[in-house]
Amino acid sequence: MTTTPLERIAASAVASVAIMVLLFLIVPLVVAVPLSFNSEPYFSYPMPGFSLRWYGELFGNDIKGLEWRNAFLNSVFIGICASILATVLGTSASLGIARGDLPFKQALQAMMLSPLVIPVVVYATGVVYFFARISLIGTYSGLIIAHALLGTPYVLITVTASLSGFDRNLTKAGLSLGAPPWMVFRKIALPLIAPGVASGALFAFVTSWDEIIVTLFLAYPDQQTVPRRLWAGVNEQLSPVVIAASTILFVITLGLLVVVEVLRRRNIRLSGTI
Amino acid sequence: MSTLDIVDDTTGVSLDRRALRRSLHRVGRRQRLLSLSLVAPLGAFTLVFFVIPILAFFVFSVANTEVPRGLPLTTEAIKEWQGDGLPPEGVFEALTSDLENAENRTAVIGAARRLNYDVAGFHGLMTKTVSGLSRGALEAGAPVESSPAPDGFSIFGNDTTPTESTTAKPQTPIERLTGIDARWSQERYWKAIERGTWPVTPLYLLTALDLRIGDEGSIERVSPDHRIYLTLIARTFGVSASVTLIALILGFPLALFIKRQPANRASLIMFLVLVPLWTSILVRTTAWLVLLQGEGLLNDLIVMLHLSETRLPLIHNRLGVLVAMVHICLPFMILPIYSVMKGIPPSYTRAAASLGAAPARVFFKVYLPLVFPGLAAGVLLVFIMCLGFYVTPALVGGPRDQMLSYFIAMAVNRDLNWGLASALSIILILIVALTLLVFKRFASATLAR
Repeated sequence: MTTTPLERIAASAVASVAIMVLLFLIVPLVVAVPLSFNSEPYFSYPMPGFSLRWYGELFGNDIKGLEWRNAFLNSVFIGICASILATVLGTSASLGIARGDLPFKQALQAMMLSPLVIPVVVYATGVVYFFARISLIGTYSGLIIAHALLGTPYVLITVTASLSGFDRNLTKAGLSLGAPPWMVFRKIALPLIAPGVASGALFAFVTSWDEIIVTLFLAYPDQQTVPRRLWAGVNEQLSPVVIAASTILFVITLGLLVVVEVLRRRNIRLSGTI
Repeated sequence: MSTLDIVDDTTGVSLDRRALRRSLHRVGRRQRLLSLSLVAPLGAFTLVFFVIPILAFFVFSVANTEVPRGLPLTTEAIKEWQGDGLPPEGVFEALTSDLENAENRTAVIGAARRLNYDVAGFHGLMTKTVSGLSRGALEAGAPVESSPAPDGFSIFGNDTTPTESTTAKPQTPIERLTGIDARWSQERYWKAIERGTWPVTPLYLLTALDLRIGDEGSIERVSPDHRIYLTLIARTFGVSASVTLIALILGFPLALFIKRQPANRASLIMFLVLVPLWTSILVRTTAWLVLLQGEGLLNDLIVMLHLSETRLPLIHNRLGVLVAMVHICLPFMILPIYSVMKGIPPSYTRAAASLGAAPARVFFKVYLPLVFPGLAAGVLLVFIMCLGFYVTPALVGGPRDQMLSYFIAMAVNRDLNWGLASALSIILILIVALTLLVFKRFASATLAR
C-alpha cells in the first residue's frame, strides 16, 4: 500500500494527538502517587525525603487510623451486600427478558434502565424523603438498597449481553431430559453466562464503592465510607493522608481491572467471541 | 363445535383444533408468566425504590400545604374575599386567631417560610406580627410580670418585655394588625396568603424559570438582580456541551489511533483508557487538586519554566471544571467510538480509494458516516452524564461554575426548600428527556438517509 506525504502527515498528527490525550488520561492519576511517600506534608517535587508516615496514619491505632479503617470496612460491607442484591435481581430479570415473550418488554426495560440516565442528585433527593417516611435514613439497609439500585442497570446490561449469544436449545435439552428448572439454571445456564454475571457484579460493587452523592444524603455522620472521608478531605484541607488513601484505592482499582481482563480473556476462550 | 378435525399423520388420532389451540395458548401464557415472574423482583424493586420516590419528590414542585396547615382559619375565611381592595374584617380576625394559636406554632413557621418564598420579607412580617400580638395579649392580661411566655414563644425571637402600657381599649382586628405593621394594609401580602391557599401552586416552577406572579395576577419576569435560574440552566447546558465537544475532539483521534495499532498494543492502550474510568471520581478529583491548585505541581512547572511570573488560577474556576470533567468523560467517549470502528471492515475504505477517491474524500465520505453511530452514542452518553454532574464542579469549581445538581442539593440541604429543589429537578429531567428524544429523532433520520 502506498501512502502519500499528506496521509503520512495526517497519520502522525493523529498519533501525536492520541499520545497527548493518553498522557492527559494517565499522568494526573500517577503524578500524585509518589507524594504520598513524601516525608513532609507538601505537594511539590523534589521531595525532601521518603517516608511511610502517612500510610502509618492510615493504619495506625489512633483515632484517625480507626476512622479510616472503619470507613473502609463500611464501604466493603455495603459494596458487597449491594452487589449481591443487584446481581441476583439483575440476573433474574435478564433471564426473563432473554426468554423473548415478556409482556410490556419495552416499558419494563426502560424503567429498569432508567437509573442510568436520571441524575443521581435527583434520585438522592427523592430517596431521602421517601426513606425518611419509612425510617430507612441512616441505616445500612437504606444505603445498601440505594446503592444496589444504582448498580442493577449494569448487571442487566452485562448479563443480557452474555445471554445474547446463548443457545436456548441447551436449556431445553436439559429440561426435556428431566432436570428440574433450578438444576438447569445451576448446571447449564449459569456456567455459560458466568463471565457476564461476574462483570455485572463487579460493576455493581464499583458503583457502590465509588458512590458519594446518595451516601452524603442518606448516611448519618457515624456511617463513614471511603468516598465520604475523601470528600471531607478534599473539601476541608488536602492532607497527604488523603493522597495515601487515594493511592491505595488506585492500586485496588488496578487489581480489579486485572481481574476484569482475566474474566474477559476467559470469556473469549469460552465463547470464541469478544 | 368445530367439525374440521386434524388427523395426526403418524398415529391417525384425530385432534380437536380448538383444544390444541387452547392448550398451546395455555402453555404460552404459562411461559409468559414465568418470564414475568423472573423480571418482577427487579421491576418491583425499581418501582418501589426508584420510580415512586422520584415521582413523590416531584409532587413537591406544586404542593401547597403549608398555609392551610399553619393558618387554617384564615384559609377558610379568605375564600370570601373577592380580591379587590383589602379583605373583609373576618379575614383579619381569622389571621389574628391563627397567629395567636400557640399550639400550632411549628406550622405557622412553615407557613411563614412558604409565604416568604412568594413575597420577600413575609417571614419577618409574620414574626413581628406574632410577637406583637402576644405582647398585646400580655398587656391585656392584668399581672404582666407573672405571666410566663407560652411554649415555643422564643422561636420567633421575642425577647422584648412590654414596657410601655398603652390604653387598654378594645381594638378591631384590622387596627391591631395594621397597628403592629402597616404592611397588613397592603393588598399584595393578602394576595400572597390567598395564593398560598390554592390547592396547587405554580410558585416553584415559575421561580425555577425566573418568573413570578405579579401583583396584578399576571405572570412576569422577576427583577434582573433576582434572575439566577435561567442563567443556571444555560450554564448547565453550556458546560455539558463544551465538555462533550472537547471530549469528542480529543477522543476521536485516540480511538482512530488505537484502531490502527496491532492487537497487542491496542489492548494495552485500551487498558490505559480503562484505568481512569474505573478509578474513583474522588481519587481523580484529588489528583487534579494536587496538580492544579495555586501551590500545585502544574504551577510549579509553569514558574520553573518561566512561562509566567505569577502562579495562575487553574482551579476553582471554569477551566478547572472543564479539565476535570473532560478527564472523567473521555473514556465514555472513546469506548463507543472504538467499538464501532472495530466493526468496520477495512475493505470499504480500500474500495473507495481504489476507485480513485482522494484520502480526505475517503475519510469524510466513507469512513466518517460509517463511524457515525459510535460518535452519536459517545456524544449522547457524555452529554447526559454531564448534565447531572455534581461532585466535580462542587470540588474543583467556583461559585459561578455550579450546575443544576448543585442547586438542587443546596435547596434541600441548606434552604429546606423542597418545592424549589423539586422544580429544578423536573427541569433537569426534562432536559435529559428532551436530549434523548432529539437524539432518537436525529438517529432515525440519519439511518433513513
